[in-house]
Formats: sequence, C-alpha cells, structure tokens
Amino acid sequence: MAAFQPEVRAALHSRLEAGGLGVAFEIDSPAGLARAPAELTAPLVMTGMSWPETAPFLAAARREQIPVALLLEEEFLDARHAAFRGGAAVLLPWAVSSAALAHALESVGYGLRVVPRRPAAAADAAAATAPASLSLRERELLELVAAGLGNKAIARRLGLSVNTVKYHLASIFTKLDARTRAEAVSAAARRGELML
Amino acid sequence: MSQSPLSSQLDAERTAILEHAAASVLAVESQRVRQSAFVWRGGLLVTAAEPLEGADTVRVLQDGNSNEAEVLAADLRTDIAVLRFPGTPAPALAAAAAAPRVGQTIVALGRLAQDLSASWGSVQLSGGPWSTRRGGTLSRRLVLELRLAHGAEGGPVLDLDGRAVAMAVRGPANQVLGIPIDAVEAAVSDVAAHGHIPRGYLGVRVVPLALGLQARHRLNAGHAVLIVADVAQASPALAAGLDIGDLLLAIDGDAVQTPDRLLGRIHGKRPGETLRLTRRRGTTVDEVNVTLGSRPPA
Repeated sequence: MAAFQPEVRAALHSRLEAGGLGVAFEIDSPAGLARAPAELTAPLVMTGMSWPETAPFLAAARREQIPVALLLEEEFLDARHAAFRGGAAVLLPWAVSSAALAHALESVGYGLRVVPRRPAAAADAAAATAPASLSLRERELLELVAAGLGNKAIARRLGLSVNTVKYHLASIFTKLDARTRAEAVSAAARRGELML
Repeated sequence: MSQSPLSSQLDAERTAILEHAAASVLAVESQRVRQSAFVWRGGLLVTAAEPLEGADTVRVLQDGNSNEAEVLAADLRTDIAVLRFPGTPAPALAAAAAAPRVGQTIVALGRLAQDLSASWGSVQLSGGPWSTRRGGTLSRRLVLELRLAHGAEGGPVLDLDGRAVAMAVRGPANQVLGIPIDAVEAAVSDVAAHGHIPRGYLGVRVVPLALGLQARHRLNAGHAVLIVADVAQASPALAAGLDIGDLLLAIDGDAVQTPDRLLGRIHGKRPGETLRLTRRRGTTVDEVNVTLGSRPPA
C-alpha cells in the first residue's frame, strides 16, 4: 500500500482491513517497492496522489511485476486516463466501499482490470467539451466501412435499409468532419474510436 | 493521296482491335469527374479508384442511357475500383498472357459520353514490383508513353492482340501509369468471392502518447509513439500477446507516426500476412510478429 501522507495511509489501512484485506507493507516512495517481499503478488493500492506523482510508482511496480490499484478523484475515473493506459490494473474512486475495493483487488488476481462506469456528471462535462463521439451503432457501422464493405453490404449485415445506412454515414461524416469514407475511417482511427 | 498496302493493313488491324473492344469500354460520371471503365468478368466493371473520391455510386453511360452503378470496392492502395455493372450485358475483355515489355505497342481506350477515344503509344517502363504511395503492392511498375485522352482515366490498355495489359491512370508529373492487369484480376476475384477486397485486421485501438509523457520516458525522440488503449477479444493482437498499455514504437521497422498510418499499414496487407511491431512494455523493448486476420463481422 502506498500513499505520501501518514494520515492517508492510516485511513487506507483501516478501510482495507474493514474489507477483510491484510496489508503486507506500506511505502511512501517508489524506491520503497524494492523492499516489497519477493513473493508478493497482491496489488499495490495507492491513493492521495495526482497522476504525475503516481507515474513513477506505476513504473516501479511494473518492473517488480506488481499490479497497481489507484484510488483517485472521480474526474479521473476513465479508461482513457493516462494511469489506466499506463498499466494500472484498477481505477476506483477514493470513496469506494471497502467491499467493492475487496472485489476489485480479488479480480486482479484473475488477471482482470477494473474501471468504474463513468460517473454521469463527469460524462456530461466531457461531452460538453469533447468533439461529439460516435454512437454504438455508428461505431459498428464504421467498422464495416473500414472493412471495405459498400452501403448495400453494410445494410444487409446490420439488417438495416440502405437509406438508414446512408443516414448514419452522414451523421458519422459530420461528427468526424469527413467528406469521404476513407477520411471518416482515418479520422476515427486518429481519435482512437476504431479497432485497427 | 493513296496509302501504301502496309500502312493500310496496319490501320485495318488497329481499327479491328478498337471495334472488338469498343463495347466493353464505358463512360463513368461521378459528382466530380468523368472517367472510363471496362467490363471485366461476371458483370463487373473496373475503373480507377482515386478520382471517385469515396463515392458510393456513380453513373455509367451506355448507348445513350445513364444507369446508377454501385461501387463495390474502391481500393486506394492499388487505385482499382470495382463496380456492379448496371446496364445491358456487354462482352468482357480478356487479359494478356504475358507481362508488358518495354517498347511494346499499346493503346489506351476511353469513353467520354458516347465517344470512344484511343491513344496509341508504347510501354516506356516495365519495372519490378512496385510499392504504391498508398501502401499497395503491384507486380510491376508500368509507365506508359502516350497522351491519355480526356475522360480516359480508368480505361483499359490493350496490346496488339486486343488483350488487356493494364488499366490507365494518371500519375504524378503528367505521367500515365498502368495498373497491371493481374492486380485488376485479383481485385475482381476478391469482390466476386467476398463482395469486397479483404483488408488486414490487428484488433487494437491506439492513441498517441501525450507529448509530456513521451519526453519524461525519453521515448522515440522526434517520433510519435502509440499506446494500446484496447485489445479486441479473439483478435490477432490478443493472440500475439499485445496488451493495454503497450507502447508501439515501429511497424515493420518504420517509426510509428499516427494511428491512421498504422491503419494504412494494416489495411495495406491481406489477412494472413505478418506485421512486425516494435513494442515497449515497461523497460523492455521487443519485436512482436502478428499474423493479421480479417475484421470480425459486426
């Protein structure tokens, strides 16, 4: 378990124990990870830090092959967040219940990664500033465009009329500021919205 | 002035080639351009992909009638588009048996509205395999010594037996290039079999690594780095051991620029071909060979 301030470590310690979890050791710097017991496979739980402060812990944990669970402010709880992309196994809100935390840490043992569904308020805020993202249907349709299928083939595949396909395509073009299918596919790839 | 027997015989032979092929060459109109197309087999038309600019349908003119034709595939890698032939069945052209030779006499046919155009010339260059700007691979690089008539792009290039050796397209610096007929045949076979031209598929979503992070980790100075944001289930990427958070530094030895460049490299290959990724995980850099698959049906 890692946190900078002793009082945060104490609070985290009691919450982990409340969830039925033991704490093997506590650290306040990345170097402390070197003291981790060699047989340790349980996740490192960290909190009370901003993402830049967390990064070196994440890197050190990765070297030691120890999975990391981060408890963060709500606004950072997103699979797109650098911490999750950087390999953290778990992202949860600071206020997560002890039981939910215990479940998440147990999941890590099964090789799973845990990130909460986005809180509605954060999602709304993101939607207001970010360029319009594609709907599930639009994404699905764009995958078929990327596969090189024509409108009729897409319509058959998705059980839609050709006109509905065209309607969705027009919406995709607007959202991605694209004029052609090829442009739409590249734009979605650039925005990380397309499986390549 | 009377013609010599030899030149009139030559003229008669040339005219016969055009008469034989004329019905197979049609005019195509999209929103922006006029170009030509030719009948290949199975009721399919072939034309140049790039001038279509992503159009889903085009108008095909035949004997004064205009019909809408669906663009079944437009492969920018090879510049070949395949259309479903909408009009009265017309005879298909046949492929020449041998690859074009330098200096060989050829004719590029085109059609503008109702009028056939014929540009005679020769093969200026018939080189080895050619990697196109858009990431395609063609069996030969063909440069043609002729002036392509207006609207003749996408039309067939025939030899003196009246057999197709290439499709004519405009290249850079007013060059006329030939897309080898074996590539046309391959594209048409794909469309006949699959309804489209298969493209490789890896099964990852990637985003560029933020510049600050890149500097901090001293990664690929001066180059972009992509970070794997998602790995699709049952995908080639998963089978090859790629994971969320892996950094992609290079593709087939070339520095990774942007996600759409990666897409171009993936689409430039067919399912079953291999892509070599230089991957960094933690402090380890290794090479990952991935056998590409095809995009799963939605």
